[in-house]
Amino acid sequence: MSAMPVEIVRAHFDRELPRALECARTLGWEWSDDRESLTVRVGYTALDGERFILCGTFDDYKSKPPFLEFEDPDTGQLGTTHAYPKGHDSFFHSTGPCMCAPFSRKAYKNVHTGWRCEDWTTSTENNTHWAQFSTMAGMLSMIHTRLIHPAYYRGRMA
Amino acid sequence: METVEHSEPTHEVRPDKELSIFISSADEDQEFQFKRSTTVGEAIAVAVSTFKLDPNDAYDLTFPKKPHQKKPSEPLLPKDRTLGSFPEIKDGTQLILTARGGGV
Repeated sequence: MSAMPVEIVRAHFDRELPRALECARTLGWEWSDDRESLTVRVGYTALDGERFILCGTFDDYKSKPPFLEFEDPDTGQLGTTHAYPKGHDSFFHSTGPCMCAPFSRKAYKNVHTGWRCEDWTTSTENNTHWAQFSTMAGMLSMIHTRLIHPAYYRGRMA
Repeated sequence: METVEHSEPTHEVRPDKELSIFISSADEDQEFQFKRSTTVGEAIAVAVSTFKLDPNDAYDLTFPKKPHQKKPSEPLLPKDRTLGSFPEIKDGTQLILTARGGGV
């Protein structure tokens, strides 16, 4: 059940969508969105040419972070280890698997059960100011960075 | 008979001209004036401060992806390299500021 009126959720979604689209254009992401279902689908190309597909559901945004999940480019299955990238740290976490960050709702369920969803835009977990990754463009751009930097990217999780 | 004009090579030092660079963070765009001798790291520090981003995070500058590119643009490295040493960086070039964030 939605905690926020859908009109407010949609207003947040609509306000942040244009900047995310601008990032998609400049950084070369494949992009599709659905305002009715409050979802986005982003196709990233990693440093080695591997394709990663991120599906985001923005229901209850921004009282809660979006539910972000990778889709297997070969099978279309969501949330498999093959769908996920592997990184130099625990951001792409094998438990779940999930993205281990306050902006990822799945992380609260799988890894950080002690985190409070309500704090996601002001979190300073791990000495990171997550406020700067609390917009659609901010979080999607950070994921992009993790896929294109030779110091952070290690291929597919499995 | 064809004549070829020879010009003497110039040995003058190129002036440290200012470059107008457009930097885009995830949420903002801004025009900056940098000298050709400004390093990538110095440019990042100025942009991070201007955009009021967390100075303790790790940042990089990249070029926007061109339509014909199959792979994404990689970060400009090393960070002690000057902006003027990148042939692609000219007056009016757009660069993207990317942030690493933390893994928790």
